[in-house]
Order: sequence, then C-alpha cells, then structure tokens
Amino acid sequence: MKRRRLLLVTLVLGLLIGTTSTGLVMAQSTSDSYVKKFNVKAFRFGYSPEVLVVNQGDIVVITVESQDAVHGFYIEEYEVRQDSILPGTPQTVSFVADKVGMFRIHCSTICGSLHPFMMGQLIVQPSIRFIGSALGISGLTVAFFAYVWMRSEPKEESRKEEDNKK
Amino acid sequence: MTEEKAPQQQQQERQQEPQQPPPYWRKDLLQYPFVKKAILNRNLQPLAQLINFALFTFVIATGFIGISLGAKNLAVVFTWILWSVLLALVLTPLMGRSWCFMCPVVWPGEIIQRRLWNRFGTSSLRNRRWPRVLQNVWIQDFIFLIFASWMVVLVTQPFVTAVAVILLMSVAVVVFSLFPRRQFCRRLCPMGSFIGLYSSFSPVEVRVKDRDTCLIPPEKGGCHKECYVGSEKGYGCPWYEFPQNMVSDVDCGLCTECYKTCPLDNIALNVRHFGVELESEKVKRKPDEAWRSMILLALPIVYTAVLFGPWSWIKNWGDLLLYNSSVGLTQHIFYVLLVADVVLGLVPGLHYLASLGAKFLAEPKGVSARTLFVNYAYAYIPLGLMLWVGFNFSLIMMEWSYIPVVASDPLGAGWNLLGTTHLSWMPFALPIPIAEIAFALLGVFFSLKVGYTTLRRMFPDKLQAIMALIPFAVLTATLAIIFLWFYV
Repeated sequence: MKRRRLLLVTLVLGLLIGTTSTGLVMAQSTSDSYVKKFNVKAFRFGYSPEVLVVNQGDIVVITVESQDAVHGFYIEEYEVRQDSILPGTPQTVSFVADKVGMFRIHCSTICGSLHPFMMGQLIVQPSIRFIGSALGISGLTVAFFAYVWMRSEPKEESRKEEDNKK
Repeated sequence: MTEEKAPQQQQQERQQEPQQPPPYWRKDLLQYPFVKKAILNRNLQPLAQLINFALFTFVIATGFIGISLGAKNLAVVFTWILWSVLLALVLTPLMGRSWCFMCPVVWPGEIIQRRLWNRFGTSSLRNRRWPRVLQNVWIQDFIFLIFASWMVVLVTQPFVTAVAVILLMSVAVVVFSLFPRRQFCRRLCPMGSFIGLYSSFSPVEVRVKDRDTCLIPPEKGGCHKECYVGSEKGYGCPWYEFPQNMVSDVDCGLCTECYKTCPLDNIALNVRHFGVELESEKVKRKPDEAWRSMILLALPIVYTAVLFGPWSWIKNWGDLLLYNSSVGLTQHIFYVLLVADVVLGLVPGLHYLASLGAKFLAEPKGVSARTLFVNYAYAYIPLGLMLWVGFNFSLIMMEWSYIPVVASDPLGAGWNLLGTTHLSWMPFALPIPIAEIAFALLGVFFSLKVGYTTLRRMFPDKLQAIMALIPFAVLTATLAIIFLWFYV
C-alpha cells in the first residue's frame, strides 16, 4: 500500500509538472521575426500553407492567390475579410496579431460543395487559452482525485444499501 | 374482502403507507395537468411524426431537384445544420429519446405494420422472430460507423442526403413489415445508436411510480401487464421494454404508450439529475454498448479534425464524390481506414491500455482488464456527449447564416421568398472557445464522477479505486485537451 501511495504522489506531481512544462514549451516555441509575410494559395477546399503561425504583436501581411475558383479569405476575430479573390488576381490583407490563440481562416465566397469547411488556421502564440484550458482540465482531474481521496465514505453496509436502492 | 378491492383503492391505501425515499432526486412531470394531458393524447405523436415526415419529404425533394451546392440547398442545411444540431445540442442532452417520439423515418413502416397488414390477415411473413445473433447493437454500431465514414459526403452533397433518408425509410418499411414492434429502432437505426446511448445521461426518465403496485396479482386488483402486451387503450411497448423492471432509458423510445395502457396510472415521467442512471449499479454493462460508447467518443474528435481542422487533404479524401480529379477511390479508402483506425483502433486501444494500467495499479482480485474495459467505457458517455455538444455548438455558430438563406430559397433557384436569400455569411465565432472549454470541463467532470462510482463499486478498497482511476482519468483529460486544440 505504501508503494501505491508513493506511486500516486509521483503520478500527480508528474501530471502537474508535465502539463505545466508542456505549456511553457508551447508558449516559448516561437521565432523572432517582427513582420510576418505569407503567400497563401487558396484552392478547393483549403489553403496552403494550412497553418500560419505568428507571435503576439507581429505585423502579419498575407497575400492570397486563388488557384482554381473564386475564393475568399476571412478571419472573424481580426475582422480581416477579402471576398471574391479571382484566379490570377492576388489580394493582400494585413493586420497586427494582437490577440493570442488559434483563429480559423474561412473562405468567405461560396466556391463549391465543401465550401463551408474550407478552412485554415492562424495561430498566434503564446496561446494562453489553450495552455490555460489544458491546465484547467488537468487541474480539474487532479482536484477530483484530491476530493475523492479526502471524502469520507459511508460504511460498507450502508453503502451497499444505497446501491441496492439505486 | 381485501381481494375484491379495486386497484385504485389499493393504490390509495399504498399511498397512505410510509414510503422509502427514492435513491436519487426525481420529480414526476405528470403532476402538471397539461403535461399529463399531452402525454395521454393519442393524436400528439402521429401529428408530430406527420409534420416531420412532411419536412423530410421536402428535404428529399430538394435533395434531388435543388441546386447541387450543399451550402445553398435546403436538404443539406436543414438536415446537417439545423436538425442534427437540434438533436445533439438540445433534444438528446435534455430530453433523451424525444426525437424517437416524433421520428418520421419509421412513420410509414409503423402505419403499414399497425394498420395495413391487419387487413390482409395472418401471414407467415409477419411477426418473424428477430435473429438471436442480432439481438445486440453491434450491427447498429456498424451502420452508424458507415454513415460516419461518409459524413463528408453526406453533409455536403444534397442528393446523397436525400438518398440516405430514402434508404433509411425503405429499410424501416421492410423491417416493420417483417418483424413486430420497433426492431428497426432498437437494432438498426443509426440515429438510435447515438440517441439511445446518450439518453442515459439525460435528465428525463420513464419509470413506474411504485413497483409494488406492478407486482399485485390481477386477481387482487393488479394489472394484466397491459404496458407490455397492450390493451384497447394503446399498444404494448413497441421497444420491448417492461416498465416494471426498467432501470435504464437507453431502449425507451418515449413513445408514451405505457402511460396510455397502464390501468393503475403507475407510470411516471421523471426529471432527475444529469448522469444518475450511469452511476446506478442495476444497469447491466454490456460489451456492445461499451464499444458504442468508445465509437461515439472518438467520432466528434474525428469530425472536428476533418471538418474544422486546417488540413484540406483529409477533407478532399473524405469526399468520394468530389470532382477533383486528384482525389480518387484509393485516397477515399485510405480516409475510411484512417477513420476506422482511430475510432475502432486508437481510442479503444488507449482505453484498453488504461484498463491494463488500472489493473496493474489497483492489483484487483478477480477483476480482469476486459471487465474494466467494459464497465469503465460507460464513464466516457458524459464526455462523449459534451464533445458532440461542443462540435455542434461550433457548427451552428459558424454556419447559422445559411439557414435564412435556404429558407428564402430552398432549391437554390434564385427565389427570394423571405428576403434573406442574399444574406452574407455571418459566423459568430467569438463565444466558441469559452463555450468549448466549458463543455470539455463538464464532460471531464461528469466522466470522472461516473468513472469513480463505477470503480468504487468494483473494488472494496477506496485506494484501489483511486489508483485504478488514474489511467482512465489521464485518457479522459487527454482526449478533452486534444478536442480543445481545435477550438481555443
């Protein structure tokens, strides 16, 4: 039983340290460029590159070029919208990435059957929300363990009676 | 004299006796006269089914004759944005199998079974026995998985949606014609797979008010089990449920026949706390339902990755009918295999590893990893449901603006019936991250709660239960975090 308790403590500590360090690594794994320029190709039904990664505070300049049909480029949270991007007519949008997190890039011009799901991602690091929510879930899990560990239980007989009632 | 007492009199006497408090909080909604009146009304269900049948007939028509672009066709927008969201976000979490009450898919079959067949007398084709080998939900899970692997096609191609609805209705007609009651709903219906499992978490239940009343012999004023065999007031339970022994709502279609047939007015429609049924010891844990729980846990993560993820290749591979010549059958087969690997291999495999880990940590006597696998799988039901809720919440927030567009121009023919045809796409994404975090936290909390109760019952020692919970809790949290990666 002593071995199990030791294991439990180790696992709980490991969980905490693991999630925290993972979060820190994710938050710090960024490059240093101040102005981020991207050439994005839009096609049915996606963007290339699929994921744009920038740092909080970067000036982001994105040139979108359609390769097949009329597409759009929309990031709601940044109020960046460029509709009707024709093939052969690249359009440029720019903004300051002042909000951290993951933001969806949508096609804002109906372009075919999978149009509603034509998406890309803009990731602005550090993503405090993701780290926070991951830590939150880990914390909830650990807190649940602490709760059931410390909770006093009814005696065996009364517990069985309660189960039988259920 | 006592033997001659009327059932109502006996019941009154029983009500005067001191009764044991119920095992968990519940409240009978039938104490409200308007609810009771609605439940006992014979026309309510056919009316609801008829309205939905008309709607889905229109869906079929628009699927065939409307514009082929899914985002502008009512068949796709109504079915996969409005109906599926309503089902997963409202009806199932809050009212269990309430959709089954009004389901139009079985309406023609049930009419044929109950009304038409009787005019032709007896036939050896009718009332056949459902094969013993299929008296489980394996085939239902399999059908759900087939639909799931074709989801990209279903949610984007109007005519595929129409064909799917026709296919379901046709199979239902055949099954209702050959087999008694609702074998189709219990054993085959893919929607039933989803709704049934998650109704066990919902706060609505059908139970007898007092089981002792059911046990009174007929000669002493008791009933003749009309709830199961039927009477002139209604049909015997179409779902093969026997209310007297019901401990779960997984297979109760909320058809309300038992309320109509019970001569002792002994059936209650209770509200209860979320998830209490999953903590009950009396609910039998079965391998087929355990696998269903695993499959339905993995699918919202897969759907999120495919439909809301940034990877265009997987969307294209998932769409077999896409005109893009670079995507062919081979890629689609790879896509199906990939989905199957995750749903049937990766997630259940991780759960099995967690079961082995739990066995190693808890050192139980007489509890196998397989038993842990089956029993603990039920604890993922709250998390699975919350992930579905999250997926559908994101879907409706992103795509809601297609609804007024197709309402104004259902066929994509250039009409402007409501003046909203040219409404531009207006997603409302800002609340999504916070809502998704809340759903994930709720799912993890309820899953751990159900899981610990399950383990505590399996292990005599509290420490053993806590140790056994560790690997399952790590898996639960990990799946929730992976899901959140796509949203926050």
